[in-house]
Amino acid sequence: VTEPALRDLHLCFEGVIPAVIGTASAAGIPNITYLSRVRMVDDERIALSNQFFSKTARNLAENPRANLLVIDPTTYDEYRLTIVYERTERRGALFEQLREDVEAVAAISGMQDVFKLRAADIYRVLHIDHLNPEAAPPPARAGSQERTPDHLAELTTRISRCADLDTIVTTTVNGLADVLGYGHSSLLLLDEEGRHLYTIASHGYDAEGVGSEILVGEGIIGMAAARATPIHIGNLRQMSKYSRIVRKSFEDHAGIGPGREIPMPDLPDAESRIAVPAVVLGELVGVLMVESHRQVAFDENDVSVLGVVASVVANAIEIVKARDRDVESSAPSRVTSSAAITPSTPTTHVRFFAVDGSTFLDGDYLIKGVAGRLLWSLLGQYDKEARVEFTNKEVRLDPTLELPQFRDNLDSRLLLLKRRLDERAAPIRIEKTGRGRFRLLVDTVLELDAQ
Amino acid sequence: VFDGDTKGFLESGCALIFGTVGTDGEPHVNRGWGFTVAANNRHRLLVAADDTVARANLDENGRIAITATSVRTLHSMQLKGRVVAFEDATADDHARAARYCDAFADDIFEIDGTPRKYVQRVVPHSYVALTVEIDECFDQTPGPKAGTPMAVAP
Repeated sequence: VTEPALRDLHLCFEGVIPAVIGTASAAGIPNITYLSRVRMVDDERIALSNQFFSKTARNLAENPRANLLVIDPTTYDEYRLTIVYERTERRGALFEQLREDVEAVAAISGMQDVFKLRAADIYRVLHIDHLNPEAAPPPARAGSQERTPDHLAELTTRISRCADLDTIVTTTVNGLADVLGYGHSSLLLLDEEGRHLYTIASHGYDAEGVGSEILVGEGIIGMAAARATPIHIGNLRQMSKYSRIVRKSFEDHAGIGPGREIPMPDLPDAESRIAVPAVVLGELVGVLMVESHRQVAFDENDVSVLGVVASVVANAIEIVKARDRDVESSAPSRVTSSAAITPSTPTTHVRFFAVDGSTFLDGDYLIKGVAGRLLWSLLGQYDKEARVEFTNKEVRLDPTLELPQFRDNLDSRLLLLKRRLDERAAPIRIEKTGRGRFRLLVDTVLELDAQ
Repeated sequence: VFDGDTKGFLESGCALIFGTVGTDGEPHVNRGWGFTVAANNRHRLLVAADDTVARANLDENGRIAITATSVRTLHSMQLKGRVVAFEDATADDHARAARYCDAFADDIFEIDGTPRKYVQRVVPHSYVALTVEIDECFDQTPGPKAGTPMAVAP
């Protein structure tokens, strides 16, 4: 019987079923420890994350031999690896890879500050035993959709043909589902201060969640943004459980209170998630995220595919923004046209809180921040002057919006506001009327109330 | 003597892993398939009958470490001691192993939906029963406290 190759075991290292390492002291006392992460280094070596297992480290200092038990989560094929400790790395590419793996676990429960990789221990694999080769073949599981270069070309071509921001983000999340088979996805953009990401479009959820925010650095999406590297997890529920119990142990042990727990994003019981940064000219534009109910639903090929899509989206967004600014600079700063209003719908009470731009329609939260202040400004002009036609250029110069001088993101905020109003089926809408121009559609009698 | 809660935990469908060591210092790990607590510190662990390496190691020195880990919560403890006897599994042992496998598979199905047929693929066909005397007990729950001696040690 041919011995399995280490690369054949790559799914065993996804962390879905925790790996177990057995070591022995010089006195011949065995010890067993569960591992949070195992990574393949090359065809003969693996790296194990070392956070806590001090007894294992002491044993290895006395006796470098060890045994590793792993299971392929898709088949339940079980393997025993005879391994020998070679060295420990505390810096370098391999350490960084393993650190990212561990930080992804930590990010699930906001423990990045306390749950850190101490070292990456490198082992040479001497022997691999397949423990259940005689077992009945595993039942077939639903496979991943094949994603070929042709599929990728189809989606990127669709995105490249989009002429405005709204179409770009819609085409992206719809195309991820229709063309590439990613049924649940979100596209988030970086805010003006670079501190938050906000959802601009999503697909496959009960609620689109436009405007929902994630702090950069928190959770899997926030981590992908902060590190500008993809984060890929195939066993969210197992990792969440591991992360929670480690956090509890920290709290019991040393009174350390890690940050608040980040609620799981929108797909209940998601098992697999990839968050990929969207970068242009070295600057983060946003994050593309896909997720699935299935364990180990994605692999490195998906990370690559989504990396290409994210890059194309980021470039398209920045090109559209640059083009629209050029158009704005040559356009009149103000378009004077008034509304001929005969609202047929009941009165809508709009409450605005100047402190953070929070805006409520008839008591229901709508939006905050720049988008909230933008709506308030537009509604004020509508109320006083019956104006409905606006240009991006004049809005950009409005001091009440508190837009930053650099990277003001007005176009994205305007789109966010438009989509949020659409999502809520509000009697106030925004309609694009040309490059750098839009119209405010108000089908109600407004009661404006600033706090 | 283990208290009632610990006895209940050890005899549940928790994941059981045991480790032995050869005279050459080579560690060896495998799964256990049911642990039964005894009041006289002569506990019973069922292991695969075809694990000849574990059997040879235990013949030579008897040293054993056993971790029991809740599939649902990852709460975990490690027992260390010696195997003082082993024998072919009895009909009662096989029934005990079957109950253990059911509980183990149920827990796995509940946490991640893995069907029982998959778990069945790692279950051995026959068992031997080890009689184990435990000397030490450690909290093995993941985190900074892992490895802390536990007061429930006999």
